[in-house]
Amino acid sequence: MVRVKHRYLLLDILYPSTSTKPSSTSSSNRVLSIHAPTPDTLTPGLLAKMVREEVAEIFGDWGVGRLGGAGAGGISVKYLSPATSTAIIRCPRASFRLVWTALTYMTHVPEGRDAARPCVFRVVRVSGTIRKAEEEAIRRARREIVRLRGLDEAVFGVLGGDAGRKTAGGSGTDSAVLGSPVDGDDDEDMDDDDDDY
Amino acid sequence: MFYDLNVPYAADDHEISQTLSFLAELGYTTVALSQTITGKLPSNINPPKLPTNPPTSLKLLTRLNLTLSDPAQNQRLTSLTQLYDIIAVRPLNEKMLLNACTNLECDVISLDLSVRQPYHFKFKMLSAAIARGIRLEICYGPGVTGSGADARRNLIGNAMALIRATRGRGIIVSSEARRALGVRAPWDVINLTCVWGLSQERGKEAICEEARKVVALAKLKRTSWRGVIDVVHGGQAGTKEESATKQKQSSRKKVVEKQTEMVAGDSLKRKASVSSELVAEEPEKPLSKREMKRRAKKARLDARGGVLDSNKVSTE
Repeated sequence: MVRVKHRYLLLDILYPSTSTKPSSTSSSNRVLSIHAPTPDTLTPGLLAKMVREEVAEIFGDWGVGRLGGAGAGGISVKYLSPATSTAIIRCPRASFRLVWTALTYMTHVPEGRDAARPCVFRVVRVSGTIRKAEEEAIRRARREIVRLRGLDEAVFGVLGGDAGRKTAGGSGTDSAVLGSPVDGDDDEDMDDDDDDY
Repeated sequence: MFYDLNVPYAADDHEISQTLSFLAELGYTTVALSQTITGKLPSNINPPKLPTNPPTSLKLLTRLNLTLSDPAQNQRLTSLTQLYDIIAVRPLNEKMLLNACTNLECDVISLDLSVRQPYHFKFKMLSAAIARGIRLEICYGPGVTGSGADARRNLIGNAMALIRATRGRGIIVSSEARRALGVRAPWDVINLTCVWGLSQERGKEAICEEARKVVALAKLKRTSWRGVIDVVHGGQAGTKEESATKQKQSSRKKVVEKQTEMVAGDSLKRKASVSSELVAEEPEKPLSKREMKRRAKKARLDARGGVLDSNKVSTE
């Protein structure tokens, strides 16, 4: 039996603060504003559609054909957490660079009706299995929390609130693992999740 | 260690602190803030004041972009060299590009790749520049952020032509992003270069190694004698109590010879062969433990054999 091989792209959505909000001056506030939560209007289906359209714009019919045709096949968003602005996208292995390039060229996420928010998509991990992508997401989230705590003790209150929101938002989605970066016992959950995909 | 050697900057730029913090967040370690001068040079040029409280992880450099269109323009390039950390030229026509590749004392040649270049890049011309230690720059900024589809197409086409003409050597990639939104993370940039036709290793070199070489070489050109000898530590003038003890040390200057491939180039021959021979001979001198044991055992056996023989002789 031939196995169809995929690549899983773990990506962050970053919001570099524009000059409209010059008030956030301390370094931890800046980091928090860069890693701001994504608006809820971005759904997994919408993200997949955006990526597909971007591939069509840059690589044309050839690019869409490489992704597996005009239908729903090819790209699928396996995980999207608006609270942490993290997503995992599955794409064919042969054309993951096309998808990655399309992500690099994307500059906006939809916000509300007819509005768009400028952002930067950053691919942080390309993985052959979704399990490794998930582990990396957890590792990164945990490291960010530790770094922020070290960065500024005074903003700990803000951070605590933010972490709480992250866990609350994450538990609502299909895999609660990514939402709770501070807990130590994630690994058992992950093994369960791994079989689902 | 990721480098972004082209971030446009003016003294009254308010967005620069946000851009810098975003660059630091993305993992860049060295950023060059560039000032662009077009046309005639003003009488006094000074790098604009660096922004206050930049992120601590970033190392900031100053850079001057000179737009060249007229051959009779560039007399003061050597005097400008001391003011900026990096000097880049942007030739607007083929003649100036040839001039920049063969003659001009600059560090980087940064072509405007978002417009159509009415000539082909020639390997001979560009390799002359690379042999002199000058790197060619691709700025991905105008192609990524909305400068229109034409800019993006021209950028891809020109970048591929440049990569083809240089065989992928001596290329650096930087952002030239006017806002924080135009900056991309290092690995995203490496992927872009992969799509443009560089291999992944070369793409990584373009943003790490080659850019580091540009910075190091530019520094060597400014501080050292012909890029060969540099005084790293001039010794300390000791205090009065210590002067007697430290006299020996302070009288001796530590001069470190820095050998760079590119600067010494063809005109100055270095005696690289002498040092390499010395290195090659050295490891043969000390005996390994095993060899010493072996010899000791052999000597012991010889001695015992001699004794046995003598015993035999005596018994007989």
